[in-house]
Amino acid sequence: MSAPTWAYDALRMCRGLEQPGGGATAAEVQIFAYLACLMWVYDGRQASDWGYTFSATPAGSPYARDLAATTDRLRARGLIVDRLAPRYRPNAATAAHSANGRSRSPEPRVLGVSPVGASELAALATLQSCSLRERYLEAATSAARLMPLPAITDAVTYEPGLRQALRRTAKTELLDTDGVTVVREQFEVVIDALRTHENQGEDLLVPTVIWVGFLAETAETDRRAA
Amino acid sequence: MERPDLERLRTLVEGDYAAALERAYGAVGMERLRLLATALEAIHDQLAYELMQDGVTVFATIDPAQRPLDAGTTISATVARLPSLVRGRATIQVLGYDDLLVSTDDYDPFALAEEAVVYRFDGADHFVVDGALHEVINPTPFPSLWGTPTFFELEDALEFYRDSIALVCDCDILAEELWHDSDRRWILRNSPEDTMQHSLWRYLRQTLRGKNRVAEVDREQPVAGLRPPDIKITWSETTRIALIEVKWIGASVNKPGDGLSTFVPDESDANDGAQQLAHYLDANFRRAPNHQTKGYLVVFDARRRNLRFDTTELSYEDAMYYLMRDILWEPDHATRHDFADPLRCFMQPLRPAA
Repeated sequence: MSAPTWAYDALRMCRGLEQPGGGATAAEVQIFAYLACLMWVYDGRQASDWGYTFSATPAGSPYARDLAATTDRLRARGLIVDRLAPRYRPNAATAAHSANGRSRSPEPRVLGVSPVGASELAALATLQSCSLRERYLEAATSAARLMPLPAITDAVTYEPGLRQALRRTAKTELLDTDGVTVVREQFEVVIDALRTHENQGEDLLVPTVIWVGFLAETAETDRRAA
Repeated sequence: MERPDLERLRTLVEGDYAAALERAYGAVGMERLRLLATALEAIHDQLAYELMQDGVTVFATIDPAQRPLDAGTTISATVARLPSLVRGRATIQVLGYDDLLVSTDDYDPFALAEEAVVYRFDGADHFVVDGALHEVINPTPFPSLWGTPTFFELEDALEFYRDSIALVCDCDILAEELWHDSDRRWILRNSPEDTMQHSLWRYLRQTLRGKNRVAEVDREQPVAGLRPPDIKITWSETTRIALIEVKWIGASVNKPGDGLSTFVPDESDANDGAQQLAHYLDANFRRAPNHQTKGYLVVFDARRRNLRFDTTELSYEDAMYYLMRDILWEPDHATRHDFADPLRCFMQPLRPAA
């Protein structure tokens, strides 16, 4: 696996999160890429075949150095562009609050795909190595159409491997043999339950949102049990 | 870590609306769901809940060429036009992200579902599946998953929480678990701080963008003998950290539940909380000078004037007396660069007598 897939992932994530969410922050790109990799594992593939590895930061967030470096390179080339984040997503319920004019710095930025980046994305999509990944990248980003984006990024931090890594202080490799065992056990339950129905299980968006919803619920359950 | 409840996961699969839609409509239905869901976010952005009080139906036909609404009473519109068109009820066909057909008539969602993926909002999110309304699991404090506001700035999120959530307890945790007398909201339950913290923690997890983690930190190691603040927010790839201390003022019920607690925290306790946070920030700075840490004090204000445990009537003036009375902060730590303006969240009684 080489750089084209890294560039494809970075561009595809930024493009996929432009519509729901108004653009992703660099940290959100990392989390959604991790979710895509997890769904690759859900599909029975090996995490080691994803093309780049993730480690857990001491704060318990997934981080792929290769993806981050590629994103930075694409920004430098103008394929990915920084945009001012919406102050907050316009919302009829929040409109009354937008007049509060305190300036806060630094202004948060989100990543978008420039026209040149869109052309590059289209070109990369024709490569077999990239098109193979589309199913997973699409499912991860489309989850943000069905759930609030921050709720997804929060839930993913409760993925068993990341929670395990939180107890350690140094950066930890994610989705190694040990790390993937618990998550596979959860995926088996989803696969098994979906398999009982006909006409079910083809669209990866379904297990993605179910499993993310489960992670979010687990966080609540654990809190109440504590 | 608790072992995840795999049976619960199986139950979630069985009850999931997206899974049910896939079973009912197949791959093309899932494509229509994607289009519909993207439009729902924009529609909820434009329409306040009171503009949808009589129910709104939104659908995307399986065959994009189908036009099931009566052309004579339907107009083509962008999402931005919706607030001027919709007054309580509407039926909306989604043709594209910002391309809608809008009728203010009420169509039968079950009939529409014969040829479309149909969403129905009537105070909660539903999809029509197999001739029935299938409720969408919504863990947020907001009526719709698609109407959940999101914030890039913590300050914006906290101000919205103060004005739209805490003020009217518009959150199941505050509404159902915080009050001794939840039918009137005069007296807090005993030791209410954990409930307030839970509500705020969950809200920030679901609405704050760009963060890495919103964690409750009551089990963290003390710094220089000081208990850490209640909620810690970290951001990836930066050294930025926010620490939120939760305090409360007002009357609570005693442990047996037969009188008011003798502990009635007031402005002086809120000031103690500010001092405690300031001391923690100082100690934390000495320990981790490379982090950009900022402290936030959130005070839940449940004060009522002239309240006794046996009070049966509370005038509007007494019930709302503290709405406009801010706490006098002495000293004012907000002059520090690392201490945000304290946020007082007044929680008003339910239906205060006018």
